[in-house]
Amino acid sequence: MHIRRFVHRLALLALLLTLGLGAASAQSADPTAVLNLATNADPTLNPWTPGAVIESNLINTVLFDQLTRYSPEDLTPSPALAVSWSAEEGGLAWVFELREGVQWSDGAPFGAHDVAFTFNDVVLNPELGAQSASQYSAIERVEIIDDLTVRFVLATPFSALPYYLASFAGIIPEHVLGSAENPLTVASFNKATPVTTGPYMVAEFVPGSYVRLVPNPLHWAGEPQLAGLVFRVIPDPNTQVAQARAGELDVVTRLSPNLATGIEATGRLEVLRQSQNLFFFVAPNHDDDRFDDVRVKQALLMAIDRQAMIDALLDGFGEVATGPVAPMLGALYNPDVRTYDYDPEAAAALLDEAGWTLGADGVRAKDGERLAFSMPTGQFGDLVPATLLVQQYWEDIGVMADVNILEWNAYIQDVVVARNYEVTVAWWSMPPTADVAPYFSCSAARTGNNIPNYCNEELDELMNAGRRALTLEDQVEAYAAMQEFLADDLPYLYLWYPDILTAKNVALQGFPEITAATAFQHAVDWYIAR
Amino acid sequence: MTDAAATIAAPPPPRARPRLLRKILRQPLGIFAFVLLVVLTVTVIIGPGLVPHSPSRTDARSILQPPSATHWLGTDELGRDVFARVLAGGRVSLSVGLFSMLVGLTLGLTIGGLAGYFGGRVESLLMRLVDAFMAIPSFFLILVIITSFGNAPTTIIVTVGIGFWAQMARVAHAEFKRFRHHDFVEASRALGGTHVRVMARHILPQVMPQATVLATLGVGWAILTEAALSYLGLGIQPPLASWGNMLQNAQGYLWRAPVLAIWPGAFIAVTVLAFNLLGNALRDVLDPRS
Repeated sequence: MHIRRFVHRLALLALLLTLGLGAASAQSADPTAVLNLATNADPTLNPWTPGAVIESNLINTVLFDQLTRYSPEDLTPSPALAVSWSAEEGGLAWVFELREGVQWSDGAPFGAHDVAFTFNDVVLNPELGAQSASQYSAIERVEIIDDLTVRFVLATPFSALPYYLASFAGIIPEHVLGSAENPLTVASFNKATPVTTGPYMVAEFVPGSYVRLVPNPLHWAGEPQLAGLVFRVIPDPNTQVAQARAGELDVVTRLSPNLATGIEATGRLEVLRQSQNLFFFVAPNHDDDRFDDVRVKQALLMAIDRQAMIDALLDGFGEVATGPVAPMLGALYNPDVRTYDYDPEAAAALLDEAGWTLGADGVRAKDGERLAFSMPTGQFGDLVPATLLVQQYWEDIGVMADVNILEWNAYIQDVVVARNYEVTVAWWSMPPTADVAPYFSCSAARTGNNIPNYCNEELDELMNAGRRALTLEDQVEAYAAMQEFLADDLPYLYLWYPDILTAKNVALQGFPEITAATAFQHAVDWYIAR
Repeated sequence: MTDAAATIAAPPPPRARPRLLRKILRQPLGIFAFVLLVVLTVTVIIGPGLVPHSPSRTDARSILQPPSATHWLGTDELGRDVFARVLAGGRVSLSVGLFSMLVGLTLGLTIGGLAGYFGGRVESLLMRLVDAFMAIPSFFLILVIITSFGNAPTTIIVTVGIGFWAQMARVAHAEFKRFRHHDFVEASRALGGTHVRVMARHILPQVMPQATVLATLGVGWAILTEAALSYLGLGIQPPLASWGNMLQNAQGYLWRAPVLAIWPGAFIAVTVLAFNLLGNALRDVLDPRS
């Protein structure tokens, strides 16, 4: 009797202990854990250096804090280096109050002068050609009000400014780069150990191999909870996945759906299905007068079976795009616009109506000019297969595309920068706002992010109406009209909004799931559960 | 004069033919490899006309299908017919193999032949060049050339040939050196034969057996090299199919559709093996010592 009770008590005690320990371990972070991440090429550790794109964005997000960052709940701008902000003068100026007591990783104080330097001397300096500078063309200058207050003076209203300041817009140190002739090409900074404000700082950069980060003891939000981060340079996505499966990587971003299959069966990894304000498109180069007739563009879009492409290329992880604004933007997304369902017969009829009739060689022509396009593409992700599928759909309605596959950097230089193409498949990843002017406005044609060189004053006015609207209600209305116009006139042929897949170690906690950029803006909260 | 030279140049041993036939018949594997290669070559030449599908026709609604009556080897990740692609890819891979071998053969025979025939300074100069090429691992040399001059099909053919010529030059050099003081060469020279004539008409035929063996092995090597280049994304560029770039494509689907890698892989393996078997058999048949 006694013994049995004793055994019972012992069992109960053991049970409680196990539960208690279990609960405790789910809460506690492993302070010795080092997180391994992958990047596809050597990063450039300066968010504004021209050409620092997908290989550098995430590591720079960890290293360089921004004025604002996305809230993990709804992607609205939330405090980072700035603690509060407000529009003045009817939206022609924005005042940002900066956080007190922030220090650079070398101990120098952070202040208004760094923000002014980043924008006035770097982003707005046309001679430097800073990455994404065209996104900030509405900014005239940044004024220092006092050490912890800055005022962004705008040429035109720009209500989405706090969103854009959360989109790969790290603040760089004036006391380090201010004396450089070109602050964007300082090798000891970009390719070695930059001075930063983020929760982790660079300890070691081995080109072609890895970048090792350690906690920044001076970080304003306190020290982070991991012993370090290592960004490994692994160009091949297959290798990245193989290493993640083998336990050598903890996070793989921009995972291709066909590689995600079965990855969760390892028990070590989970796949996050994220969204992003990102759309894939076929850009028609509007310098080519064959695109003056909107029916040509509409027919080309109707000829593409976009759902089939999503199923084939993305394993269904995506949604047919109706315009550049993705559904994740909630109220700002307008689904009631003209859509173009797959209908090759209607597409052919539309081209006939527009005067492009089928020639003896199977290619449509009008007044001796053939409906044949040069279609260069770059080796990255799904661009090549997407291009080949589009080429086939167009061939079926008598439109020829001459595909030429270029190495990635050659593609960027030749097609994106020099606009040397007639049609091309690519994608834009934009801040979570309906303000898409940097990608569509006349001022961005030929030089900025307006790849199709599309220019229409009516559209510019619609987009400016959105920029002037300071309340959400006004913005919804203005942007609904803009999206209707964009669906009618097709500056880009919209393909799809892909789900963004990220594979992560299940033990990694404090990792916001909403978008990859948000997750990396909150790197200070990451920990490995013990 | 011509007749006399020819008689001296090629004194055929009286019982050569029956003996050669007997030697050939003793190489069943070699015969098998030869027949296989003939069949393969004919198939890739006329085959694409017989398959109802175009190798580049995509169909997003029928991707990664298993083999069926319509698609004999199934379809790939873009719904293209794998059988049609294997045939089209074979055309490209075999031509790259064959033509690069011809480039290597011509370069090697010319340079090695000149070095062996003339000797002296010409020989030291040319053979040091050959040594220099042999000192660099040929695959890395090819990578460097391709990355600097681009990957147009002709560039690939010439480059792969360049990876192969030095070996050929060594053999040609040794053979030309061996024959240059033979009686039939001296006789031809005495009868007024020019250097070019002596080399081309009299020595070259003696070198051909050795060269043939090396060239046969060279085709296999060239096919493998093109496949390796394509696997690294530097070879024949899509949408043009080659066995190598089909393999590279299949890489992304290794977890989902491993069979995509098996077909081009099997064709590469069988073809290269056949060329190697044929090369070995030829060596045995043509080697005077056996």
